[in-house]
Amino acid sequence: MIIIELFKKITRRTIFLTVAIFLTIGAIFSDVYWIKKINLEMLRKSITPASKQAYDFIESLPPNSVVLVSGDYGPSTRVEADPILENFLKQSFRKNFKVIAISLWPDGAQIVATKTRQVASQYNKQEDVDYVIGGYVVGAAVAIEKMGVDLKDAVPLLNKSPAPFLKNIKTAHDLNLVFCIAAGDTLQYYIRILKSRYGVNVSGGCTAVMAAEMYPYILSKQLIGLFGGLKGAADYEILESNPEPDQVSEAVKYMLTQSLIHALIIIFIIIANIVFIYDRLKYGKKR
Amino acid sequence: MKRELPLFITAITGLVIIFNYFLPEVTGQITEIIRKWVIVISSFAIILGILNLLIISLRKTVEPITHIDDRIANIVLILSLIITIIIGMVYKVDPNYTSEFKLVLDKSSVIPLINFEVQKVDNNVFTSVIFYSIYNPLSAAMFSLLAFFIASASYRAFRARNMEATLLLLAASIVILGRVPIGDYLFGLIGLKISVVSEYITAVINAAAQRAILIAVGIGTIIISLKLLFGIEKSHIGKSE
Amino acid sequence: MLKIFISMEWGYFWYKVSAPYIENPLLAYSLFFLLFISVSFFYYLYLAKNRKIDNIYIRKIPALNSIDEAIGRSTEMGKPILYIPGIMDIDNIQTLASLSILSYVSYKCAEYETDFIMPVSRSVVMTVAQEVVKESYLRAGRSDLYRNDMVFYLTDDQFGYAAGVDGIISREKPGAIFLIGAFYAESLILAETGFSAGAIQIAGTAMITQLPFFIAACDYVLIGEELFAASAYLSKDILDKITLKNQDITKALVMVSVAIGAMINTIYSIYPNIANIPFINLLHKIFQGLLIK
Repeated sequence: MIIIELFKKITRRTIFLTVAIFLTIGAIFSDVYWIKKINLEMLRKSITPASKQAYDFIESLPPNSVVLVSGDYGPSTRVEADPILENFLKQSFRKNFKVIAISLWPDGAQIVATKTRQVASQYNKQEDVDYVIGGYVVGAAVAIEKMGVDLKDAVPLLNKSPAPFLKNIKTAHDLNLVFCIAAGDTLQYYIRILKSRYGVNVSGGCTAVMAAEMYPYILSKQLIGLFGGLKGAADYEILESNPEPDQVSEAVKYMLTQSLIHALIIIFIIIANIVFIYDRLKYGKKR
Repeated sequence: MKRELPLFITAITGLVIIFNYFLPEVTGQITEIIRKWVIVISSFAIILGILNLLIISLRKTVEPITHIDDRIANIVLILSLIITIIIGMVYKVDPNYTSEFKLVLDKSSVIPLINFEVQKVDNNVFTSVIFYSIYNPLSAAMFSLLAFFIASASYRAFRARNMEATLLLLAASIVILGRVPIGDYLFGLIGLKISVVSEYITAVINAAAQRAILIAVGIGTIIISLKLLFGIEKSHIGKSE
Repeated sequence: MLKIFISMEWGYFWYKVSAPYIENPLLAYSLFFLLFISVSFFYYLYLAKNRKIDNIYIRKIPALNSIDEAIGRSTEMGKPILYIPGIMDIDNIQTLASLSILSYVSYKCAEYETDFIMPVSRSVVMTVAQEVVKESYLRAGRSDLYRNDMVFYLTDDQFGYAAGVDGIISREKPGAIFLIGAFYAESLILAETGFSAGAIQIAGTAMITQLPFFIAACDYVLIGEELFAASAYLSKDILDKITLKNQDITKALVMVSVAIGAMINTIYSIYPNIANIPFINLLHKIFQGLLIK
């Protein structure tokens, strides 16, 4: 059959080119109003339970709660992680939480500091009064263990901050919530060390690849909900901001592109299986 | 002694850390000292890596046998390393924002208009140029390669060769479509909410398998750690036979 | 605490020691579990050292059996071997497991006189790997073939490392690529580039999220604990192999605990009156303590 012969000619280059075309179409059309509207409506109806659980828990914390946000990601995963961080900061400042912003990744420290100051200025929050920038914390798992014993020793910049809310904070146990946005292992370290040993509430976000790995922790209540990948970021934006189609940020917009690519992958899988089954029927198993 | 001393240090420090987990009041202070040493050593290790990189790159640049492309790549590497270090030390890492009038394209109207707007501009060369204009896009570009590679890997891997492969194919397809709005949109036409099915596969079936592997990996980690602590596993310091 | 101990204020001493366990009962379960593993570890070591067990059956692991084939194939084609030990530091257990396989692979490369390339992402790993490879070449009697720049540092940055390794694969066109250790998102980039270069690829990782990518793109994969069993599998020493028995007995304990605990909690939730039976009540209290509050 001609069409099967055409399918057999698909190479890696064809796949790459098609993906590039679909990405371009997604990027162009993601700004069209009616597409944004349909996209938003669909996302509103499919908010994941894990995202809802995390959002509801943060919402239930009382005002003046002290929360630690750990932005452990780099520029490569900014598209997925930045919206989660931004929406968490918006929710925290709206609820008048006191925020300690750190990063266990050296290139994440810059991003976290800039984003915290940017969001804080929208809510008229002052540095060293309502929030503290802890900067880059050296040591990953070792630093998290130290947080359980002495938070200010683990995050040295806290010692230099005159923030009044830090006076009562000695260890991680004194925090109401630790929110970790991770592109690596750090969320698991927070769960294994701070939650298991010290009983600290841990929630967070992660890249889409890691989201599947975190479900055992959610189900055993060691992790309070999770914002997984771009979908989680879009869920968080909808829950926090409830935007109109012309107010959506990149997380919701880019879900259109992600939808197109996922659909394209399914099409390729179908094509590959059509060719495979056709060959199996025509030539038998030996070929 | 060259082999025994590292094994002895490994055993003592490892046992102290383990005791600290179960008897924190007894071994707390020693563990704090060890934790500080770990942080200092890991910081120094970065210098070690940079020196090694510089030495090898310089050698490759100078050697006559090196191909011209390799020579250029190594020169670029050395120059970018030195320039980044110098700029970082001179300009520091905090952004330096000032407000400036800028010409901006107003996308909100149907006909694109050019407007004057007051925008915050970062004058710190390190953050605005090195970090946000060079490093950020390069990192993002490398990560974005995954989109292409996942498409080609899926095309190659998801074939219904046997029953297990077919089940894998079906589960993967449901999860791929269930995680994006288009899945609910398409299957909504036949009255099926595929995101619920996808969530079930991820939260129940996948979680069960993940738990099994996590537990097995955890046990393997403990065993290999005990082997390292008690000197049975010596490959990291070189085998003696 | 030492002063309290010396002054023989035993009551206060034991209070201080037991306080973490009262606050967090899960600590007691962790202690029991660790004691069980340690006691069985030493027990099996004792059996192996006193020759009470000479050999144990280990099922075939295709990935490890294919190492010789991969290195042989590269040697015949005149192409080098590329070994990638993951992107995490030496404190990660997968990196250490990778180094034990590195010892075997570099020994074989020395024997077959195959070129060996090993870019690393962490400087401490580089130092340790250089020692391991040098030792292997020495053991094989081919220290003349060893060069210090066989193992070299690229960058700590995840995708910078991936870009560097992709460049090495494209230029050097290795015959075999070993991707063994802890990987994150760059795993698929490395595996796909290796596939396009036509190399035989043997991967091994305990990172659950990266396993599917390796299985899709590589020829052989060590899944999860097979990576940790590798050093025992490749070793001829019974002391190394016996720890696999320890792993199995611990897994058996976990399986039995999960089964009993699930059964007890299920029966209790349907028939709460069953708590009147003292033995069942005790079991329920034990397994109830394992639930996260």
